[in-house]
Order: sequence, then structure tokens, then C-alpha cells
Amino acid sequence: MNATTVEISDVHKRFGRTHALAGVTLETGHGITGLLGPNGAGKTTLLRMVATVLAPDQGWLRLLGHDPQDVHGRLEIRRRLGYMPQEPGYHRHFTSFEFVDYVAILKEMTERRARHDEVRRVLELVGLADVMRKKIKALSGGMRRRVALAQALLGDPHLLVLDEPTAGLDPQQRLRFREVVTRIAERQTVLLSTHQTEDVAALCERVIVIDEGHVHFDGAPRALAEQARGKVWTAAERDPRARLSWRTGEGLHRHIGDAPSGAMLVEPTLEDGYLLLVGERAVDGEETAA
Amino acid sequence: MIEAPVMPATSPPRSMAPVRVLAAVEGRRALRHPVFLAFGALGLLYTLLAVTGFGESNAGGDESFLLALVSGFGCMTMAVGTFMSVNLAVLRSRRDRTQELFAAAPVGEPLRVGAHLVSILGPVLGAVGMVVIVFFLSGALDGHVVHFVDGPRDVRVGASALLQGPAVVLVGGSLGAAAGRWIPHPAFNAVVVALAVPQMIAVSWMVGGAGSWFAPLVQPLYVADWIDASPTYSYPVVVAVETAALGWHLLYIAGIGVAAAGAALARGYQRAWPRAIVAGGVVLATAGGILQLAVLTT
Repeated sequence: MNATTVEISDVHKRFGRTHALAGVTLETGHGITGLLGPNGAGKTTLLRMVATVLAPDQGWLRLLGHDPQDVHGRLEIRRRLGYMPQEPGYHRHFTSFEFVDYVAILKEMTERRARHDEVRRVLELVGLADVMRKKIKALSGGMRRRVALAQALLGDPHLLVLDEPTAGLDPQQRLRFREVVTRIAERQTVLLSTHQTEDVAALCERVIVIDEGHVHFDGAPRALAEQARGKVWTAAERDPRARLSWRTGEGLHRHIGDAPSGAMLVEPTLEDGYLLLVGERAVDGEETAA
Repeated sequence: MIEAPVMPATSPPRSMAPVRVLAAVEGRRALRHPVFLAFGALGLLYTLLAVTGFGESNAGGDESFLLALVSGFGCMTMAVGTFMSVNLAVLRSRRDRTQELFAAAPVGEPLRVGAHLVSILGPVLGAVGMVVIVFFLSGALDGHVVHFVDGPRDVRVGASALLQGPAVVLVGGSLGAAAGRWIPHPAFNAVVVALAVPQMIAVSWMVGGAGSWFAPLVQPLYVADWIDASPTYSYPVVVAVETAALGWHLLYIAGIGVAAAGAALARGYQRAWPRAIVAGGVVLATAGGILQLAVLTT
């Protein structure tokens, strides 16, 4: 059991009439923890709290041994935090180097040579060494996401909070992202939210499914997949008894739900377990995200 | 849509080094900003053309005009450029939606605003450079700005006159930062500038009226007489520069700059000291305003 770096206890957050978080409690330590959930589930709200930019209405957090509500505690957390928001924003007229350098100054890296070395290191890590002198407005969406990831990696943070880091990345970039993040997670805590169940399956030791402000599942990705064992089957035609079904590339219909007797059961995946858990809301969320 | 972070930005810094480094970055960016360059170049070009048009051979020229240029009137456009470039820089994180990203950094918003304020020193150095150029070109090295009508006269400019231009650039930058914090709409601020600047310039050029001393830049001269050059044109003969009132005038505009800087820091920051800076600036401006008029009326 590694040391706990993130403790969240009975956290609530409301935005007007929307209950974004309704009593979330969890703990996590070194390694990669993935947050899965449909749009509006509360993932981003939770990550913003862990990133110290949002305070809970009720409940408490303890991050890296500090209380984010306390001024000094918050400063200590921020010194050891890397954060990539869902919509990070970029200074379009800056080059990638200038932008990451600017964030490095905000992270109190004041010694010029060391800071520039660090900026070059993180840009190389995310594969942007060749375009570091290009203005951000000239970069593709995927490259901009990598700039955002690069700034989060500055200073080898003890707690890395990534909100949908792989959105907009092509398969090659996602593979590179996985390499980078797994290397960091050997020593540090990584908390990431995603819509990509394959990223969770490939990266995370632990997955937390959030929906409507509640934690619905907390465990290993394999355990989430196991929840769907015996509830996933394929057939030549769409089965109206299935909760969810779709036509696969092989021409068969894959179904999730209470399998009828005689159904051709198949090995469940993480996505099956997730879909079974959050049902149609996940599908709606994916469509909205797309 | 990114909502404004709700965690208060009250984190104390480990040291002021990030502010210094950030200010250097912002200062360099301000000096390279197209708006600043355009307005600065406009002021410099106008000043150079005007100054080089005067001289011994232009004895019939308006010497009060030359004196005004030496006293930093060319910096007026630079102050406008500084206002706009600092304003845009302060609004950058809002415009580019980096507020949430930056909110998670140890160097909080008050320190970033502080860095923007310190960065104004870049444009101020530019203004000093312009004043130095004009000072040399106008042949005022011996201190005599006016020495081409009826032989040399004792019309000298002191530091209080020469510092007017750079001080106005400082005020322009502080006001730009304050406007960016309180009215976060660059288009609105540009309109305000477009409306206000012609008025200020008009007031600044009024010679002799006490009201003109409330303008950012003033004509620091005493007019002894008006020479009729033709039936339709006359020009003033300068006999002295009012240096004492100019000193208080510098205090007056410095007070405005300090109050604006405090206002920029006070926005969204729940500490008492930025408000104390605003109060201090108001006191300085009031004292400077009263004392400059007192000198003029005695």
C-alpha cells in the first residue's frame, strides 16, 4: 500500500440548482487513477477541486498532506501540482516555448537557464521540440493539447491532474502520452479523467466511475469489466431485450443487459462494464462529447 | 465555458523573484507590442519632425511649442500606447481563457498584476529615451531651451519638466492595468482613450489657465509677451519655466499613478494594503494638485 496523497471526504458542490458533486469520498496514492463518467457527471468539478481552483461547499480535501482551504497549505500543494484543465486556454500569440516558459515562471522557476532547460525537456517529452518556436495559433488542436500537457509536467509534479488529456490526440500521440504518463506514475500520483475507456484500460491501476455527482464504482479496471460478465452477448440481429446494443464492424450486434438464455456470451471489456453501470447516460454523453 | 476560480488568491510568495522575472517578460512584450510601437513611433516621429524644424534659422517659430516638446509632449502618444498594451496584457488570460490554468499555479493573480505594474518600467525607459533624444536635438544641452530670440535668455528646463513625459507614461500604464482589472473590455477602454486623449491634449496646451494644470502634461512656462509676426499670427515669448509648480505637478500625476496601481491590485484581492495604496495615491494627487495651484497663484 503506497502513501495516500489525495483524500476526499464527503465533498459536495452545487452550481445553482445542479448538484455537481453529492458526497464524493475517495482516497488515492501513487499510480494512475482514472475517472470515467458521462458529460456532466462531476468529473471536471472534482478535478478542479483537486487542482485547488475550486472550493467544496461541504466536505474536505487533503492533498499531498495539506489542506487546500488553508492559504499556506494551498501554496504548498500548488508548488507540487501539475494541472491540465479540460479547456486549458493558450496565449495564441506566444510560441509554445514562450507559453510553457511563462507557466514555469508562475511555478516559481526563476533561474533562467534551469527554467529554459526544463521547458525544453517537457516540450521534448511531448514531442514538440521541433515546433517550440512556432506560435501557438499556428499549431494543430492535437499539438495545442500537448503544449497543455507539457506545462503540466513542469517541475516533475508530485500530483498530476489531467482533465481529458487525450481528447483530440491521434493514436500515435496517445501512445506517446501513455508512455510519458506511465513513467511519471512510477513515482507520482496521476489523476485523470477521460471518455476513452481504452486509455483507462491501458493506463490505470484504478478506475472510478462517477455519475450524477456520486461514485458508482471504485476498483481495478478488470473488476469493472467483470461486472459485465454474463451480460454481454452478440447476435446477428438487434435484441430488443438488451439495455444497450450496437452493430460492430464484424456485422454482429453486441448487446449489454440481462442476457437471454442461449445467448452467445462474449468476454466483457472495460467499456461494457462502464456502459452497464451508467447505461444510456454514457451513450448520450459520448454523443454529446463527439 | 470556464468559470472563474473561487479559491481566493491570497497565497504569499516564497520571494518576489517570480514577480521580477515575470515583469521582465511582460516589459519586453510591452515594448514589442504593435500598439505601443505604433503610438510610440507616432510620438517620436512627430517630435523629431517638430524639433528639427526649429532652431537658429527658425527664430520666428513658436518657442513655447519647442519647450512643450522638450517637456515630454511627445510622450503623450506613448502613454496612450502604454495604456493600451498594458490593458491588453492584463486582459490576456481572460481573453485566452488561461485563468483556470494559472489559478492552479503558486504565483497568484495579485502577483501577476504586480508584475504587469512593474513591467511599465519598460515603456517608461522608452519615454526617458525619447526625452533624452529631444533634449539633445533641441540644443538644450546647456539647459537653455530657448536661446534663439533676442539672444540667449535664462529659460531653462529642470528635471521636473523633463520627468513629466516618463511620469505620464507610468500613469498611462497604471491606468491601463486598473482599467483591465475593473472594466475587462479592451474595446470599451479603447473608446474611452479615443474620447479622453484629445480632451487632455487640448487642456494641456492651454497656457496660463489654472485648469490646464490638472491635465497630465502641462506647459511649464511663463509668457511675458506675445509677438505679432503678422496681422493674423502672433507667438508667445517665454521668459521663465515654472519649476516649483512643476515639481508639485509631478507629485500630482505620480499620485494618480499610485492610486491606479492600487486599484489594479485591489480588484479581487481581499487584503487591506491595496486599498491603502489607493488612499495614499489619492492623498498624493490631492496634495500635489493643491500645492501646484498654490505656487501658481502666489
